[in-house]
Amino acid sequence: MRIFLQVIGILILIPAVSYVTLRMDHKDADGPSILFPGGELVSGELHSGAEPDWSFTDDVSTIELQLVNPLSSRTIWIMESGGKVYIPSGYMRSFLGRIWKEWAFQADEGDGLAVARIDGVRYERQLLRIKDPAIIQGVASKLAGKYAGGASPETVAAIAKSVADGDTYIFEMAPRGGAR
Amino acid sequence: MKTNNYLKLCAVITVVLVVSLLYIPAVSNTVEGIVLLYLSTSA
Repeated sequence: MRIFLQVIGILILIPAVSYVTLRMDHKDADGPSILFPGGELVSGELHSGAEPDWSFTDDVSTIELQLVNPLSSRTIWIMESGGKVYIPSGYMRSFLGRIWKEWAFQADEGDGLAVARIDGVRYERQLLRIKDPAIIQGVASKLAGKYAGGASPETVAAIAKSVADGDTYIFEMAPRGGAR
Repeated sequence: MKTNNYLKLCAVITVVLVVSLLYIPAVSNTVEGIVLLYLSTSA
């Protein structure tokens, strides 16, 4: 019994130490890893001037998004729709979402100031939560087509319903200074 | 295993694991890859 408990203890120790070490190691890094949030995005050209043609993001799977307050970054999906870019955050009403998607709650309740790094270029943005069904329809269609295996009417409707129910947040990555 | 020796073993495992994760990129990449694979297949 003693040996059994000691083995269990080591089997718990290894993942616990791994998680804490990797989490702390990435905390102040220049950007996130796939699993762990990172720190401030400091490298990469800072975009200035006119808004780019965001259609290039159709070929971009994930981007790095950093909130200004509080300062942390994570990897996230991106969708272009109607000439603007949007990011999603799911599981918002689940237990998992409450601990994993803290950034989305902070963006919604705070000033929404953020920096996105896409293909090595940084863009200063402001996250504006979108609930307009007309806009959501287009974003949901792109989300479904890009990440959910196809934009079938059922899939798009399910995503739109998820947004309407509050399970999924959709943020527009607007130029800074946009109205909230 | 005596408690004293067990605690020493845990300390050694912790130190080796922390140093490996921080200074050997392949170790941390492998760990993250395993976790990602688990999440993608069971989520």
